[in-house]
Amino acid sequence: MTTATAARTAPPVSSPPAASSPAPKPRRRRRRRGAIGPLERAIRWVLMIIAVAVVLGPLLWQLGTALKGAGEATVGFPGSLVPSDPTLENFVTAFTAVPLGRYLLNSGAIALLGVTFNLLLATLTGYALARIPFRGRALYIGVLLATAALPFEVILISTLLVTRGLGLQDTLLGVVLPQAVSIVSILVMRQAFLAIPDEIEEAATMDGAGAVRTFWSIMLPSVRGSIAVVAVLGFLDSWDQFLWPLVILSDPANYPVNVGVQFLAGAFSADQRVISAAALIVMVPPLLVYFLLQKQVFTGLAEGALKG
Amino acid sequence: MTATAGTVRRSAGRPSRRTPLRRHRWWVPVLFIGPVLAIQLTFLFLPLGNTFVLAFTNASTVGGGVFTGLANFATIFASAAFWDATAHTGLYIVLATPLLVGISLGLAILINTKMRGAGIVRPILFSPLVMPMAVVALMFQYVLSSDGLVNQILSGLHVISEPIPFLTSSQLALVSSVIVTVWKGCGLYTLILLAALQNVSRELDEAAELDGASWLRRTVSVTIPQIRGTIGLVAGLAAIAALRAFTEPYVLTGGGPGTSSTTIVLYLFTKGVSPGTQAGYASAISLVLFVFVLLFASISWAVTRKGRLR
Amino acid sequence: MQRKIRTISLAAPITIAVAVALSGCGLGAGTDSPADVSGAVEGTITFQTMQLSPTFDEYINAAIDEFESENPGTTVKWTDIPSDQAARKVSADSAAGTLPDVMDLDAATLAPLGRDSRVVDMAVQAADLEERYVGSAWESFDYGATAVAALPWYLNSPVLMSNSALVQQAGSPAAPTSYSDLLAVSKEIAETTGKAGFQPTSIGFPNYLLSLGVPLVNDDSTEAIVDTPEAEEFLQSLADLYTVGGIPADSVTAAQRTEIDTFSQGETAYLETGPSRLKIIQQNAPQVFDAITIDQPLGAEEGTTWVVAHGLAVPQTSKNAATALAFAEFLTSPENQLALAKQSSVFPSTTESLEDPFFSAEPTDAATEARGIVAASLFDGGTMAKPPAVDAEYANTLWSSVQTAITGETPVKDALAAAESQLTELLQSRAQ
Repeated sequence: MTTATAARTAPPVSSPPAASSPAPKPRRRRRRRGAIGPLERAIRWVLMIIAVAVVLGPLLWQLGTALKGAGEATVGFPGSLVPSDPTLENFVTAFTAVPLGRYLLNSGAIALLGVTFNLLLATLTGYALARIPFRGRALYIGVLLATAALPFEVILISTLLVTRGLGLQDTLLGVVLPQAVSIVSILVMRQAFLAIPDEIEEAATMDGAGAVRTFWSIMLPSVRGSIAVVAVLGFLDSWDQFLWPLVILSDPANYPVNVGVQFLAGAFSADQRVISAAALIVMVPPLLVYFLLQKQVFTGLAEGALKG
Repeated sequence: MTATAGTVRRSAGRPSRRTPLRRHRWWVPVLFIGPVLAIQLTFLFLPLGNTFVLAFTNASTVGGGVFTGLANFATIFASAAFWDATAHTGLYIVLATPLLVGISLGLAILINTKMRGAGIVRPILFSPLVMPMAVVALMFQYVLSSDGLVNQILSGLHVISEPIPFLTSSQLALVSSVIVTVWKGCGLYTLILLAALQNVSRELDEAAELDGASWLRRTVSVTIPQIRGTIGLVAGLAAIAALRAFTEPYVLTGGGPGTSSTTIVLYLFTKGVSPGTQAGYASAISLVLFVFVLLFASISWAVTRKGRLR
Repeated sequence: MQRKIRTISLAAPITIAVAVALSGCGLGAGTDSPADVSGAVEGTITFQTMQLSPTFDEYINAAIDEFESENPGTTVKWTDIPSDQAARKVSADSAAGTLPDVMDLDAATLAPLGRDSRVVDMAVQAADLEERYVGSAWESFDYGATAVAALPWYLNSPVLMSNSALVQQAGSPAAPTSYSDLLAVSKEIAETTGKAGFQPTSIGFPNYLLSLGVPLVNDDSTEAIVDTPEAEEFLQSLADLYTVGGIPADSVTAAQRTEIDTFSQGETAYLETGPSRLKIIQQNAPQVFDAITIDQPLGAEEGTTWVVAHGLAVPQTSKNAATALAFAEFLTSPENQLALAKQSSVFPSTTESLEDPFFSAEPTDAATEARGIVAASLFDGGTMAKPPAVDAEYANTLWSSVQTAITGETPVKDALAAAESQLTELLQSRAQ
């Protein structure tokens, strides 16, 4: 029906979220409130609980293992899932067995630089691919998608030669630059810019704004939610880096935390509890970043393109 | 009433994508995609070109190698192992893509609500996206083992009498990898889809509601069509993720039993990176993989083309 | 409005990139001119170990200090890498021509470098040292092109650990002494206790066959030999064992290291592994640890017990090979190896260190008992080095072929025939 097709070019009529809505028509407001009936509410609850259980189950098991004391067996199911005498000693061991603190700092520096590059490159390119016509654009998108499927290991040695050739070995830039372009991020930004109604850009042009100003002061603020998403993605990409830093860095003092965890998992100190603890330690910073940015992500998304 | 407004706007908005809104000076696109292009030329296309040169040699990962022409490609196409791996990757894409898109879309719609509790559920559902794949796959080795979490629960509920051999049956090993891909991947795709849902205009939904359309009907014929573009994006990303599936089967089953869960990337890896050392041969496989991807991309481009032009 | 949008043509930059690649760093250099080992012992060298930090920081740093003071003007820079990633790191460094001057590597990881003559041949440059080392350790590094690719450093060789609680439950059968024996006893255990006997592994499988008299490769490592009656009988017994639960259900696709997990869980009765694992079992599963009894490793009487050697190799690209070789000699000396062994649960590769009373002392616990058994087996020639062609890639290929035979999906004979042809293909591609 018409409503469905009309939806594609929905007008940017200001329709802020209900909470801040100044004076909505009372009738509509009542109906929206009533939209969640008791049955729907119940169904949603059940589904959400199932989804949460599927996600959290394996994680809690990991946490249970990490909290077990030295005397307690790590295995045996399901009786020993819950530690009888929870302890943090495994976390302490993880930090003292290898310089995990130092590695965390290194990872932090790599991630900070990685996020900066990822944001900068993804917004610029995503914008160009969405709203600036140029010859070869479709081809370029195809190339991006194609290269996204190639495993990095394949070009590892050649990349190493190039990076060393540029004198970037054992530097932060050498770690970050070769993996700075994230195709997923570019595509997410492109999609966000595509969603902005043309009217907004038209208005800016009529006001006499140039390309750069339109981008900076009109377009960027409209995609804040996606920017937060891309920041999270960039952080995760950098944080997960593992093989490349190991190869390009020759001074072990510069290793990121993932490499440090490999040391823990190795032959000389294989202790499942410590490894579980270390795995959790590695997961905490991304989780923290995610939770800190969460508000940003959601308010950004809620206001989104409609704000213009 | 709102629906009418939408229709009016539609006629005004429609042609605008066809002809560029504004024309830019030559340096504008350069400014925007120049930085990425420069980095990609140096750290992607240059090494990639070099890799493709290696594809025509018998180079080892430790160095060396002489030009051997098309010998590597002759070996690849005559190799049953390669076609076997290709078939597994094809199956992986066919299984994983619909599951990833369907579940993510369902979850995104489920949590796109102002209901109390959704705020707590959201970050939990996204949390797999922050976990390194290697850790996730390791975790699932325990979850899917013959006395693991899943088999314990199923036999506890008397659904099964014998444990399901998730990791040791040739029929199930690949499916188990797909399960891990889906568990880990849904967080990201739900996030992207939720972002799109939150950008969707409420007006139409409300209008349809006033017309008396049920929630399900509004979702299917009003909400989902509005995020068609994003669903397409997610499907593309999911297919690519399935195409390069590696860590899941590598950690879970090592590609076994036999070669039943060996994907193309895993095959390439065992030949050219570890434990194999045939860099030239592996480069040739990646060149073939690259051609597959290009084919794949052009097909999906051709299919979605109609929708894209509007 | 001018329509000058035809700005960026992607074809041009890509063409340039390919051209640069073709002309520039296309093919890595072939075998370099041999390293010069005759120079003076001075200057700076880099030394890379596999996962010895931080456990052995004190020992390594002290050894470096001593070397530097004995040889004024030398500096040793030490780096440590995780063992799981050593192969990839070494490959990348080798292709880029930046290998460290002295590398601690196990025989399997060193294999590609040895086969391609990328490391100094110790049989030529340090022939006088051969007497110093255990025979099987010295032979571990023979890759044909490089007769001895590294100076043997520390060794690992197994004992047989039994979970006495399970064994008693099964009516106390005698400890197995060979792999066929192990299968028979495992069957007994499965039938009486419902638990598995042991967990077969991908890395272990070639050892099983070798110990049963299957040669694995021919004399010049150009053809694989695995399809023999002995192998067929063994694999058939293993498949039968699988159906009665004599090996853990998931073991065919489980990672090699999980053999320790299943043993620690009391799911298997026997574990043949190096004494260094005792500590981990003690930490992870104290109850099982208390029930462990230590026995001679399998194949001890026939002298076919496996041994894994770590060696110190010097790459041909080393700019300071003389100093590198001197440092490798220094670190593998009997005194230094004994000192390392006393701090760890690995074994020295020099006969003189193995004679030390430390290894023959009256056992007081499982660890000292295991130490005595391994040292004796190394010293008395109870161990046998795997043919160097049987590396990780060989083991993986073989294991992948037999997996479905163990689970009963393919006939044993077919699996072995397929394995043999695939492995021969592998060996021939290396010979080219």
